[in-house]
Amino acid sequence: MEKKADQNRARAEPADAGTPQSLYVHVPFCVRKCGYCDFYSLAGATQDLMRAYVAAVEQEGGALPETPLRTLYVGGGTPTALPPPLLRRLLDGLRRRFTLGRPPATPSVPGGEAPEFTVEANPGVLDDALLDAMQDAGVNRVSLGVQSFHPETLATLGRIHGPDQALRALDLLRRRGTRHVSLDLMFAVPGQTLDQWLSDLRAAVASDVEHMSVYGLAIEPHTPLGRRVAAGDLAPLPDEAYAEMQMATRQALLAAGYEHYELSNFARPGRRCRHNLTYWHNRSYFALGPAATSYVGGLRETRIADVAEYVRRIQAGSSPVAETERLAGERRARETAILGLRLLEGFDVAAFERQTGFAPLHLFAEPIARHRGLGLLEVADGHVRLTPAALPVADSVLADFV
Amino acid sequence: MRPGLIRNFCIIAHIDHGKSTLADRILELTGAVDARKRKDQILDAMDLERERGITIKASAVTVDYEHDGERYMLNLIDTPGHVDFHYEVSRALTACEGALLVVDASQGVEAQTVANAYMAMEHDLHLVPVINKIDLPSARPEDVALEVEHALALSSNDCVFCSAKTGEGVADLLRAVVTKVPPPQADSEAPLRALIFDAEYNDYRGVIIYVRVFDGTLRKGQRVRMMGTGHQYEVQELGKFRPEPQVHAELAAGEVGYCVANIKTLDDVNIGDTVAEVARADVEALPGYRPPQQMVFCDIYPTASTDYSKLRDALERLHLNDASFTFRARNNEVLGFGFSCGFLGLLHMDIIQERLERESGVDLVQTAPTTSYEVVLHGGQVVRADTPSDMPPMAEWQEIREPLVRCNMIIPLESIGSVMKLSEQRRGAYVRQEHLGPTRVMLVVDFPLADIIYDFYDKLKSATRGYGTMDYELLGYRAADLVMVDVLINGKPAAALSFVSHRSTAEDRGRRILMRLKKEIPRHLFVVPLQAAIGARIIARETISAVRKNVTAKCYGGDVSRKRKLLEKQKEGKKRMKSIGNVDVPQAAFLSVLENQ
Repeated sequence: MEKKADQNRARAEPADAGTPQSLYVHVPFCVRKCGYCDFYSLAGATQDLMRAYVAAVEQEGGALPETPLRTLYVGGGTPTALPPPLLRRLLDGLRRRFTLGRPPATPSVPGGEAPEFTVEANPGVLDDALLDAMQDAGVNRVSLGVQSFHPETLATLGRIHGPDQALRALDLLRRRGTRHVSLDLMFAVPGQTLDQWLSDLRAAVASDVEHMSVYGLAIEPHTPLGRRVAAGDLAPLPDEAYAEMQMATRQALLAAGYEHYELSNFARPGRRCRHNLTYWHNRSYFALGPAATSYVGGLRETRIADVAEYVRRIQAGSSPVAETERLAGERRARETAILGLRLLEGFDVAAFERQTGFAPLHLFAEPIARHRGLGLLEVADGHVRLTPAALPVADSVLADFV
Repeated sequence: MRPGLIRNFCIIAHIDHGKSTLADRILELTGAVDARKRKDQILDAMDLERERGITIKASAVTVDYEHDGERYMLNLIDTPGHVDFHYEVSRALTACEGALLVVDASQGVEAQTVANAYMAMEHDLHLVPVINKIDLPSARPEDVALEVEHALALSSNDCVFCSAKTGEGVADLLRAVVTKVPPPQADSEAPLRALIFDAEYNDYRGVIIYVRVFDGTLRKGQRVRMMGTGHQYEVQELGKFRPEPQVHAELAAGEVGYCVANIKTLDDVNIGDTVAEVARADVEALPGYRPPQQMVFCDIYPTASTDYSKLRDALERLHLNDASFTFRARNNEVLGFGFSCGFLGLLHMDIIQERLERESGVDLVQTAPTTSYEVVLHGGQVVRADTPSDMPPMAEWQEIREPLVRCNMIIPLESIGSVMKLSEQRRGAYVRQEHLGPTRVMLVVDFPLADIIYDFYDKLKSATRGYGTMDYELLGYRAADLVMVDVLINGKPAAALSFVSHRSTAEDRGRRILMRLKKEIPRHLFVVPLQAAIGARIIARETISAVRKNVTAKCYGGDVSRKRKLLEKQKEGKKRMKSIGNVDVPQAAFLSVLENQ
């Protein structure tokens, strides 16, 4: 069994795409599950389990090649649900294990970009001790799960924090001089009005963050929120309202000087999230932790979504991977296209062909022609991209590329 | 046997009035079947017939009967119970001199009682009215006898009262057969003329034909010719069913029996054809033959396209047993490969479809039935179109004719208002009404067949709280103000959805179809207009508005596979749809239109 796991790991070594330069670490703990969340996380875990988890992640990480990383992202769940000493241990461990410096192989990166080290934080629990742990480990980007500045909206979402805590957390980050702050916001929440949403956007702009991830709420059937909707307790907003809020978001944030660079992401110039760009470029990345997905050498591996079982397997030296997927050439190219089209700049025709071996204008001739005809797609300056009109209906366009 | 000692008769009745039970009792009473060994309803061979209480194939059974010291030969000719098999019934009637008209003592006269009785009268048969099921607590034999008198002008004094179930009165009935039904007029010395009144296919023997010899004698080894088809055969075996087959060397004038002559398929045999001797082919054929006429059409598709060849095999097998339905391959742009089928009537269609599903195990999709039309072109040429796709373009029509039927409905008096209203909605033309008694009335209305072909019977049933019965016969084709309606999706005609309609209902039907499509066609990235049109003129319009939102907000590393699979599913779904005018139309949308009317 152990041997087999080792072989698996050996085979997971990058074969074609070069060694990944990104790492995702999943922290599967929360203070409380939010009503809309269908990610894997555990509320109310014991400190023992958390400790075992951190040790297991360290052990799993120890098997990865010692390679310099350009981006490191610790998400969840809620990383800040870990007690400060454990968060510190986790982040320090990652820092020690991975050379967080400019990749030696790419000395010509302009300005010698520092690696991007992001940690997701919940405004409800963020405090000095946690921030110290992050700062000491070299975290330079904090993604704050604000979601809304309206108490009603936060209550509907089942968040643990209120608007004041969000403002306090932002203030805390600013005072520490955190270079790069990102906010998560959510629209199309049942009961939310367009006016409320516009005021959320104004508050977010006023906070002067570098980056915003703005999500339309997806109501998943197996969440508490989904069940309330199914029971008729809550009415989802109509599609028209969703589209309207999405367009209003774009207008407001463009006007405030943000670039709209991905369907749900906005950034000040030069402040795009490099880690997430890895996903949309369909480049490879490592991953650690329960439920985390890595993509190395064309092999996508998702770890088991069960902390205790993850820990047990790591301790036993067996593979924590529960699901694997390897796409053959054309399907992989198609996947690359649907990810690339999420970016407002689209995908680069020449780069696409280099990366996938398929000429996109040929492979996608039919859908490109159709959607250009409908004004939903454009081919310009060597890129294929959605037009702004396509943004509320992007999936209908992408479905023809997959 | 002397023709004077032969009686050829049949039993006619409305469904479930006890025809088969009575036949069984007659076989028992005459000693043809041992009562202790009998199976119920011997004459009904097929399970399906038994389940539905309908006899599909006619057959003939010969029994002996002693009366006043003479030994009579009684030939009981079984007839199909429903007027869909009007022609088969009429051939069976031709083989008889008399008929027992069986009426349920509690149900009374029903629509098919009347239709069958009229038909028997048209064939100059002597009718013996039989009031059956007198053992039922709800029996009202005297009332029903009066209904018979009112509806059919048969004296209530001539009615025989019996219970086929208990056997009471059946002996009287047999006496009435011998004393009231006239013997056949037959000349054994004349050149052979025998009527084929039924045929069936047997896996081992090939085709078995049922014949009634009118003149001359049919003998084993004889060279015979079917006068209609011109086919010649040598008679290999003759016999009678008693009810087990009993081989005879010959069948004399006036007799009824079966004949095996190395006939390969039912397609080679015409019911109603005349069998003559090859050596004496100068005789005149017996009158009344016509080919079966399919009046009701529908398309049948396998739900799974891989079942196509299984379906074809099943149709071919069924056709061996019933040559009166037709089928031809058809390729529908949406439903794929299937068959256009023609049936004698609605019941015939139901029976075939049920047998197909049961015997082939194939799940079927069946389109709403349509009827055939006659189109007179500008040049005067007459074209028959069995499906809308056979229809010549409207610009070429000089006149279009549709089949007209005379429908008799027997209903409770209190329902007459609602049935009249229903009839008006279906373009019915009132003919007359007759009171059958204090509570029941017979309403005769002429309808375009197209208007009663779909769900009329169900509507009649609900208008009469289940008591109404109906029957119809074809009157012929009649010119009508009909139009061809096209359905356009995003400006492009969907050929499979075109239909023929009376001009006055075209808009309503068009709108109903558009509403169904609107419900089933998913929203697109653009607005989709749906239109119904007569030629270039739009008569109805609906709009499917564009998709407003379809976007996945979050897509990071762990979401990629799931998200891709969702999109792949969307794409798969589209692939299964038919693209018309750039619009992806799901099969369900077509079915919602084609399965309904």
